Amino acid sequence: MIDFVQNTVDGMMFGSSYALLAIGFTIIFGVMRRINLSFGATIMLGAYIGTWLHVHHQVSVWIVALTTLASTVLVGIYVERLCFHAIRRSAVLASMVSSFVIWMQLEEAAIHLLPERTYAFPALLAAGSFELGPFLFRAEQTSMLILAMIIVGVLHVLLYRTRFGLALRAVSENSLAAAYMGINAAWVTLCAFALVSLMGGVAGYAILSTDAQITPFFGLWATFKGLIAMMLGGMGSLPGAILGGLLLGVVEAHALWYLGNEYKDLSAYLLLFGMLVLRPGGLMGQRILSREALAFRRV
Amino acid sequence: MDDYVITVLSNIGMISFIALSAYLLLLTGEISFGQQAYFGLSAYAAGAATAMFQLPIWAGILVGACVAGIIAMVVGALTLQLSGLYFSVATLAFAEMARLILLIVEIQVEVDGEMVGPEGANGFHGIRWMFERDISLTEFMLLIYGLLALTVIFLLLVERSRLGSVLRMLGSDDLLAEMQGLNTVRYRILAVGAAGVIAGVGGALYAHFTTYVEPQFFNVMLGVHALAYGLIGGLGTAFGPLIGVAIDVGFLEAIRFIQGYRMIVFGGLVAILLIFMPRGILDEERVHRLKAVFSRRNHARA
Amino acid sequence: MLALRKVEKRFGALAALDRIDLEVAAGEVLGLIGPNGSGKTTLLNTVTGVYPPSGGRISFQGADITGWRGHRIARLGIARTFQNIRLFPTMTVFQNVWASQHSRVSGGLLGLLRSSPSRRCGDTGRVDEILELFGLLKDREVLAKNLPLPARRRLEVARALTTDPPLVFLDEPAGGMTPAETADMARLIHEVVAPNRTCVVIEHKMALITGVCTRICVLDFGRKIAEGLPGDVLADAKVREAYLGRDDAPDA
Ligand SMILES: Nc1ncnc2c1ncn2[C@@H]1O[C@H](COP(=O)(O)OP(=O)(O)OP(=O)(O)O)[C@@H](O)[C@H]1O
Ligand SMILES: [Mg+2]
Repeated sequence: MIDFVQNTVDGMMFGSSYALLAIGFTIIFGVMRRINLSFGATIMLGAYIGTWLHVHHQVSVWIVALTTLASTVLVGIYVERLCFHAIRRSAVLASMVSSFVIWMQLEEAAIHLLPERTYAFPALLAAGSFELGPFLFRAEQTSMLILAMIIVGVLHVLLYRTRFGLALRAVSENSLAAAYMGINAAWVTLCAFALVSLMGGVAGYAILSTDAQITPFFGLWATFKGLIAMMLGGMGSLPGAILGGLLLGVVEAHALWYLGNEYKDLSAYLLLFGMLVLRPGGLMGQRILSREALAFRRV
Repeated sequence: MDDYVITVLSNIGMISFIALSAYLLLLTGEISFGQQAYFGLSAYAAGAATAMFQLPIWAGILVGACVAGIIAMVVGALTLQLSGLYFSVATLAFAEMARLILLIVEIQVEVDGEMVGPEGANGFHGIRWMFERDISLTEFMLLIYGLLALTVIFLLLVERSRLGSVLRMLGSDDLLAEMQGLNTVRYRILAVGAAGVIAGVGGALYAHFTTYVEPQFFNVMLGVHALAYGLIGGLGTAFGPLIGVAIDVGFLEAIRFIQGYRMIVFGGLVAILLIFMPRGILDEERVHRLKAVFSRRNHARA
Repeated sequence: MLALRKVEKRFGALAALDRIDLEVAAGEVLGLIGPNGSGKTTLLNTVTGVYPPSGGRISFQGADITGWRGHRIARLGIARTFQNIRLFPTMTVFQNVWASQHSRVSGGLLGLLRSSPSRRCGDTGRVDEILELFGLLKDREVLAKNLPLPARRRLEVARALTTDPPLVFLDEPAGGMTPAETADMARLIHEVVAPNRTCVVIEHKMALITGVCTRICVLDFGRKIAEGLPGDVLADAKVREAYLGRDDAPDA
């Protein structure tokens, strides 16, 4: 029983990083109805640039953190311009494939920057742990959970209390109508992209300093964990992304503990496949897929 | 030809099967991130048939293609409700599940005093049909291209046939297609199954060409590449995916001085290409125009 | 020919169709009218199997087709057009019509692989005949997405007729058209669609309705509020109120 609770808690800690990644996907999907496959690679390259400074110029940890955030935002804007802004809205497939080839491009750029496979990643906080009753908490994971809560709080204020948030929500409800209301959808999209990249940078920095190392595979890992968590929660739903991330973390933690390492990822994909077959809209999504809605939109 | 060239050419040929398989699904409007699963499952099944049960190669290919096709149809039936991104992610989830399961599976039998069979994360070694029969790389490459040619001819026939028109109808607007009297469910499962078979043929060949298979090879990257090839080459004709493969594997492999920067160049080129040609080089409209030009020329001659 | 018994369709709390009883007799041209959102398209969608009704029964030529999937209903002989024009945009005009014809041929697996416009899978002569009737023959090889709106509407109607279905539904065949184009569409419906066939026309343009329909049925909030000869129905107080009451008068 204690194991079960401890695993659940660990899973939620880990899940909070999935949730942060999923939020990035969900916002982009909401605004653009398209998927940015290079989201993970964007964060990875941003963090690589930070690490490069650290390795070659021994800058302080704070500068690494700031560089990581700034370069993630820049790379994010590059992706937006090339793969989304430049391709017309209806060409969903083209955008997706374009963001995929750019992912490959970013990955290779990272490898050229730092040619070896693995680098130590400088952490802001020292690792440590504390106990609460029978349960063990790792400091860096706990700070991740707290960070996730702060980000979600800030995001909530931004989306529901500011004019920019209003514009962003208007564009994701109906971009055409929003354009008629005088909202510059292209600008809002670009800002959303920058915002999401910034958030991704923060999440990426936190995750990497928990791992204390960085490899080019981080891009793939972040993209797929974020994508899975988003689909589990329901595409385009903010609470869904958080729930999906936590669920994914908890399921993985239990699979790891009870079945072993090789079942950890398997359980995640099994969960996703099962969810899509049985409840395609995810935890929080409406059943958007029903025939009726499809017909209503197009007939 | 030296072995390196033959290997590159053979790889182009085998990857083309996955590209064609993803392309067939693109025709029906669905984007699959998971065709590599059928490639991989078939590689295992075909390898098992020849290495563990001593069947001849044609039987191995047949077994692999059937296994891939049947599994694809089951997945197709389970995902009937899904379309768009939901379908893509479901195929991705399935493919990763299949790969991770192959990482666990260990079934070995004793053949001639040696243990052969899938060995979990170590992969499946000892698919030595080529060595046992003394088949040269060149001969095997001819087999690959022979089957590839058959597949392309089949797809070109499909395109000119009623089935091709039916698949394009499904892809363009499945509700409208159903209102025209098409049993959309049946055709979708048929298309998914056929795409599985095509990927399966490639996988069966791959297992025998490399003599061993590792689950790691069938990761998502392979699937997304296959998808990208179809889109780069164009969605208007079955030659599209082949053009895509040739551009990536062939053309860029050939230009030595960009070695190491290959993805940077390729990624940039493709991203720019997609801005101007969002449905690829040979898209439906260009194919339509080309056909018009050709038929006019034929008329003029007659 | 077509009979609806207490047909209901609910979307969540909204009853888009509320216990509709409707009888369509063979050979008539029934006008289906009603204010925006009154459930006309929903009725058409339930009859053609886009989605099943939430309650009630639908029968066609004596067969109970309630809950059938769309392709079976289409094969049985109910064709339709769409309010927001649906064509296969990257197919030519000819292919669009021909596709509708060969969709219904069931020739087994081998038949599927036969080269396309062959005698075996549809009558290409018939396709050209229909295109001629609708003035589309000169655009035979044009991609559907490059056609102007009136031609696209005509193409939809042409496509619906290619298999000679006994019953045709037209959903706003003159939507977005000028008065002259509307008159042309009315002529086509009268001369080409209606003869030897049963036809249900959904329209807001009263000029077209009064010109071609032999009978009218009026929906409002998912209910049938009136039915009868065009003159009687349009004079009906309830019908006037349904339209005028919401400042949505038919442009007679
Ligand atoms: N799939 C759906 N989901 C939810 N509500 C729907 C759906 N389809 C239709 N409705 C609602 O049902 C009602 C009837 O819609 P319908 O399209 O049948 O109207 P209509 O009579 O065809 O109107 P119009 O003249 O504008 O075409 C409307 O209020 C509409 O919003
Ligand atoms: Mg309507």
